[in-house]
Order: sequence, then C-alpha cells, then structure tokens
Amino acid sequence: MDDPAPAQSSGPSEPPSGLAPALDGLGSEIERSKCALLADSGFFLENDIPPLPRDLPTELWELVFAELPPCTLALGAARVSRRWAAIAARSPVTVDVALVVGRDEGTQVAADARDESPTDLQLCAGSRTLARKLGKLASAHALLPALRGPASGGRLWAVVRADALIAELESVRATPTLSGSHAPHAADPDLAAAVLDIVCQQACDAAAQLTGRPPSRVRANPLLLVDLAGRGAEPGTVRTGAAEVAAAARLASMCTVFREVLVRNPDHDAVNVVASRPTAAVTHLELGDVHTQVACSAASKLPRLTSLRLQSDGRFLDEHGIFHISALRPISAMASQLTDLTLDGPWFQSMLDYGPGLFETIKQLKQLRRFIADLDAQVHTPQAIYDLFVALPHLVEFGRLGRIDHSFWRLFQRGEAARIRRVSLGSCKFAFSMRLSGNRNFLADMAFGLLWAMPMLEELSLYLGFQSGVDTDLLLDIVCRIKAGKDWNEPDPIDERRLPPPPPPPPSPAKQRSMAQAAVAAAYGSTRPRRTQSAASRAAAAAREAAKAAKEGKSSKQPTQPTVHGSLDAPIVSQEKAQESDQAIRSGPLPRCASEPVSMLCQPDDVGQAAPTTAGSSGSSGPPPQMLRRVYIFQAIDVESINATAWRNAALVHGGGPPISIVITDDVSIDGSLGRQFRTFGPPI
Amino acid sequence: MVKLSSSDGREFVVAKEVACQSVLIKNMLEDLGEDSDAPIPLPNVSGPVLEKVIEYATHHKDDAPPPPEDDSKNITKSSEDIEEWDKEFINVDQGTLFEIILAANYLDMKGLLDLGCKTVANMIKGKTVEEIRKTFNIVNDFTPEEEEQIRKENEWCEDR
Repeated sequence: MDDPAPAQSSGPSEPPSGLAPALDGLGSEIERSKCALLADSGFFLENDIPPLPRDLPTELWELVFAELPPCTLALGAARVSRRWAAIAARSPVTVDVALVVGRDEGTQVAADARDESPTDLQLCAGSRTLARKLGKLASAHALLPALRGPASGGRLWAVVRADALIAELESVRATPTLSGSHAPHAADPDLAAAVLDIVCQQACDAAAQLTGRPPSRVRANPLLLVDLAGRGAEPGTVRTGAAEVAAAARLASMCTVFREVLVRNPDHDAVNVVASRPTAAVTHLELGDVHTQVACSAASKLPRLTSLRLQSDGRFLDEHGIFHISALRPISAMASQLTDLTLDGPWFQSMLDYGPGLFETIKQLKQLRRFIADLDAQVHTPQAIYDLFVALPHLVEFGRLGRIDHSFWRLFQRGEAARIRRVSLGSCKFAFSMRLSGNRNFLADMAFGLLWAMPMLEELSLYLGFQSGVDTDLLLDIVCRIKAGKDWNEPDPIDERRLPPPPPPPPSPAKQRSMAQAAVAAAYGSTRPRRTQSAASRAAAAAREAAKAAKEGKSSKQPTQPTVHGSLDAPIVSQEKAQESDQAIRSGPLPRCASEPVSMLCQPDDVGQAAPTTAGSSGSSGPPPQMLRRVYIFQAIDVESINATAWRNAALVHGGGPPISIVITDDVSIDGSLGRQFRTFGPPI
Repeated sequence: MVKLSSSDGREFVVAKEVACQSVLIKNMLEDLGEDSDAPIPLPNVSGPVLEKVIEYATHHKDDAPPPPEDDSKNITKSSEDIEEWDKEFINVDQGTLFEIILAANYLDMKGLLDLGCKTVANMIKGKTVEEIRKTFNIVNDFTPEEEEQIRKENEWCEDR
C-alpha cells in the first residue's frame, strides 16, 4: 500500500477542555511573538534557543543560503536584517571554476592579451564585470556559459589557465622513476583529478580572500573549457598527430571529473572523445565555433548530459558549405534526458541541408525546458513554429522568434503559451538589416502578443538587430505596457487596426433632427438626398431582417455585423420624431451595436486549458498579477541618448507592483554579454 | 508495513520502503526489530505535514539513493533544477513549506530537505531587499552604520 492511509485517528492523548485551548493558544502566541523578537535581534546566533515555530533555525537557513548565488547572497540576503547578515556571513559560497585548457598556441593567445599580463587565475563577480574582464582575454573565454545571458549573473567565477600546470604535471609523471618504470600516462584520470584539485583549491583560496570567508566555506563548481584551435588556426583545421591524440586523451580524462565542458572549434570526433569514457560526468556540453561536421551520435552515451549548445557563425569547410542534418538527428536518442538545447547561429537559415527535418528531430525531445535557436516566422511560417512549440510540453523558455506578428500570436488561442516564463524575440542573425522592422507593427503586436499569449512571462529578451530606426519612445511605452499588465477593457492595438477609423464628433441637434427625419422617411419610402437615404435604408433593412428573424424563432444571439457608435452609417433617431420608426423597430431585436471593440479574447477550450485571458478578462478579479521581472534589450544602437529618467521610472514605478530590471545594451553577440555601451535600470540583476 | 504516529495522534500505515526513505525511521526500525507492531512516534511532525512527507516519499520510493557526500561535494546543483512533480508538490503556503523543511530535517530526508531549501532560495532570488523582507515578514533592524558596513563588506560583487 503506497498511499498514505490514516488508519485510525485516535486524536491527542489528552484532549484539552474548558479554557485550556484558549490558554494554550494564548501561550503559543506569546511564545511566538517572543521568539520573533529574539530572532530579529540575532539572539539565536549566540544562544541555543529554538526559533519561532514558523521560522527556520539558523542551520536550515544556512542550507537555504547555500542555494543562492554569491552575489544574491551578498547584495540581497545579507542586507535584510542582522540575523540574516550573520547567517549569510557564515553560509558557504560557490565559485565557478573555469579551467581553460588549450594547445600551446592557445596559451600564447592569453599571453598576448592586449594590455594585461597573463594571469593564472582571475576572479570575477557578476556577468558584467566578467564580460568586461574576460573580453580582454582569449576569445575562447567569450564563449563562457556565464556570458550566455545577464540572468546568469550573480555568480562568482574563477578563470584559470591550466596549460602550464598540466604540462608540468605531465612532465613530472613522465619522468622515469628509480625502478625504471614510468609514471602513468598523461591521460590518466588521476592526472585530471590532480589538476582539478589543485585548481579548485587555488580558486577557493582566492575566492575566500575576496569574500572574507574561510576557505572551508567556499565550494568549487568546475567547468572545463577546451580550446582546440590555436592562434591563427583556420576554422575546422584538421588536427592529426601525436599532440592532437594526447590532447584528445587529456580531454577524455578531464571529462570524467568536469560536469560542464566547452570545446571550441571541435573536429568531427570531438563528441566521441568527450563521451569515450563511460564514467564521463558531463551534464552540459558546448561546441563553440563549429566549422565542420561534428558527429553527435555519441552524445547519447553521456548518461548525465542534460544540456547541449552548438554555436557557429556559419562558415564551413564542407565543400557544399552545409551541415548535414544526419549528424544532428541522433540527439533524438536523448529525448528522455535533454532539457536544454541551444543552436546559436544561422543553423536553419544557411547551415543545415534540411531545416524542417531538424524540426521533426527536436519535436521528439519531449523533456526540453529550454530551446533557443534563430527561428524566423517568414522562413519557417508561424504555424511551423507554433507546431514545434506545442510538441514540447515542458518548454518554459523559448526563442529567438524573429519577424513574428499578430498572425503568430493568434495561434495561441488555447493558452498554450501560458507556461512560458522566458522568451526572446527578434533575430540577431539579421544584424545591420532592417528586416526585423519589415513589419511596422512588430513592436505593437509584440506587446499585445506577450500580454495575451504569455501572461506568466517573467523575462523578456529583445534583439533589435541594430535598427537605427527604432523609436525608443515607442519601445519604452511598450515596456511600460507589458510591465503594467493588460487592461482587458481597453482596446487592443490589433483590434484598433481592424476597426474602422475613429468616428467624427457627434452632429449638432439640428443635424440630428434632419437625419432622423431622413431615416424615418427612408424606412417608409420617400425621396430624400441619396447619402442619408442609403444610411437610413440600411438601418431599416437591418431592423426588418432582425424582426423577421425573431418571428421565425431564431435566437437573438446570432452573430451580427457590428456597427460603431457615432458612425455616419449608424441610424441616429431623435426622441420626438422617431415614434413610427420605434414602432417598426420594436417588433424585433435591434442589431447588436458594438459597444466596445471586438477583441481577441479567447475562452477556455473543451479540455479545460486555461485561456490566457482568464486572469484579466473577467473584469471583477482586478488586474492580473505582474510577473515580469527582467527585460533585456540587445543590439540597441541608441544606448547613450535614451531618456534615462523615463526608463528608470518604467523600471521602478510605472504600473505599480514589484520593480523590474531593465538592461539596454549595444551588444553584438548572442551570448548575452553587455557590450561596450549599456544602461541598466531597476534592481540589480 | 510500518505505522507512524504524528504529533497530533494520527496514525499512518505506509510501506516499509516508503518509510525507510527517512534515515531516522530506518534507524528506529533497525533498533526496534522487524516484527515490532508498535507505531513509531514522530512528536515533531504534525499529521498534515506527515501526510505531505509520505506523499513525497511514496512518489520517490523508486529513486536512486543520493550520492555519498564525497561524490557530491564538487557538484553544484542549480536551484532551478526542480522536477515538475516536485514543483507542484511543494507549491504550498509559506508556513507549510517551513514545516515541511523542519520535518525533512527531523526525519533526515535529504531529497525533501533539498527541495524545500531550493524552493525557499527561489523565493529569495530576483527580489529586492525590501521584497525579501516583505515576503518573510522581517523587520529591518540595521542601523545606518551597520548598513554601510554591510555594503562595504560586500562591495566586491557590485557592478563597477
């Protein structure tokens, strides 16, 4: 029997009676208040007194704080109260150790790094500082996963170049011992473990010094960066020979202890090498600067792999310049384990020989929670993108959706996209082009679409593709609107465009009287000026049709053509001269006039899926909850001259609710770094 | 089958494999012997919370045992890595969440404790200091001097 089954509830052994419950309750309230006061004063840190019942003891808060990124701990938790500050100071922090391994030339790249002398270890906190510092180092660093998005900020990174260390260890181990035997081969897992231990210890010591914590309170999370391309190497350089074999063996051994591995400029067998050891611990694999066919079939041999990223600028050594989809199809074998897939670069545009085939492969990855690729509604069609999305039931982060408009948003009529938490729009492969803005309603449709289809959105990344013509005021207005949430009583931009132009001001009373006379006369046959006759006769005909329908027993809820108040085509009848007209009209229901614009509100479907508008469409339940927390605007060229006051107001004040973080950057890359010029508003990321 | 008795006197009958996900209960069963029918008293866990704990243990009864400390010392799990079922399970009010964490700690159930701690951590992430105070009903008791000192101590992670 698995289900919990309360056998017989015998109840408390001594049930209180009389005043006892009240007194007990009062006592517990007093105790609770007392404990709360003591807890806030930091009393529990020095005294072993149990905390208030609905709070956690210090040691459990330490466990909670251990789950926080170091910067969140320092900038958030440590500033809440004295007690939290004391706990935060005692909580361990995690330092992400990026071990950079490359060929000798790769080391030289770092040595030549512009104005900085090479260092063995650099500590960086937060994505922005990291981006700035690492930008001065070798290009492989720029592929750090930490820079994929500003949201990954708040982590403490130690970037270590370990080539010299590895070479030294290898030489020591290769030295014959007195007994004549050689030390284990350089690819021995022991060597990898030794390198890892040394590097992590070094990183932890440095992090401890930086954060003021004892080294025992610093934990290391190792990440391996393998730079297979040396300086001056052409993309896809074929590497054969002893050095390459040794490097492959070294990589394979390293993969038994590292969980995150990045291979830059991989060759055809890079994935095979990573997965060659059955004990491989890799959970995240990145292949950066892909310039040749990479066989991904071995990826399924990595038992813990949950995240895969492929990045390329589209240059291939293949004679046809294409990436064969057959190399990627085997990832469908990881359907039960892969939760994160990123394809950075023009994979669907110019790299793959058959893009739709990859769509079918991706649809099989049912566990995907995050899928990022340059998807283009004009190339793939909105329906294809929609089909891909609905085929992935666990997807909560989706992007990058280029050139989408209302035809795309309208597909989500059943609230399918309500599960989306993070979305990125735009397409960075079209940098320096205006194709994104080819649809002049892109931004307005985006605002409506996000509010309508993705009401639970927490993070928006918008790639502007270096549009010089972007109206930043409009952009600000849209961000404000998204932050404030949707007022479903207001007309929507799309609907406004669908409706006739706004009506002119109402006519004077004399004009109204004459028009009413014309309407009455037209209804009973008269010769009047043609313009008014036309309008009035249409109204009378509509009334007669409605009356006929009522007589035939048809429901008055039949859909009718909406009319707009105040339009020249609408009948305007004065009170004193409309008796006869009224008599005719009362015989049947009036054609329904649109008291408000027809909106795209959708209803819950048959299977009970919540429609995206349920939160706000009822009107009585108040405004929907504001879920948006972060907005990133990439590739904006007009960074310096924006209205900082207005943007700050939008981040902090506008629409009420919690403040949001806004980042505007001129970044050209797709890794989410902040570029050379950027502005941030609202709470730190 | 094992009988568990909560602090409010309710008794739950669960499969042994479910109950033994708690190291505390496992040890108690070993001490009491296999053929003991006496209910195991859990005075620190109320009935409703014990019901939730049993629900969690039942769902995860076939999970692989957690790795030993040595193997996991260098593995940092993201607090975002929470399964859908677990997310739904832990979607409770704050008071219940704290009580589940306390129960998991008392019963020595690492998986449930991790889940609770990650959930609380996610409640802290992305919030301003004021929002954190509001969420957890905490009063700011810093003096201005202390606030300045805290700021200076943590200057290393501010954007520069």
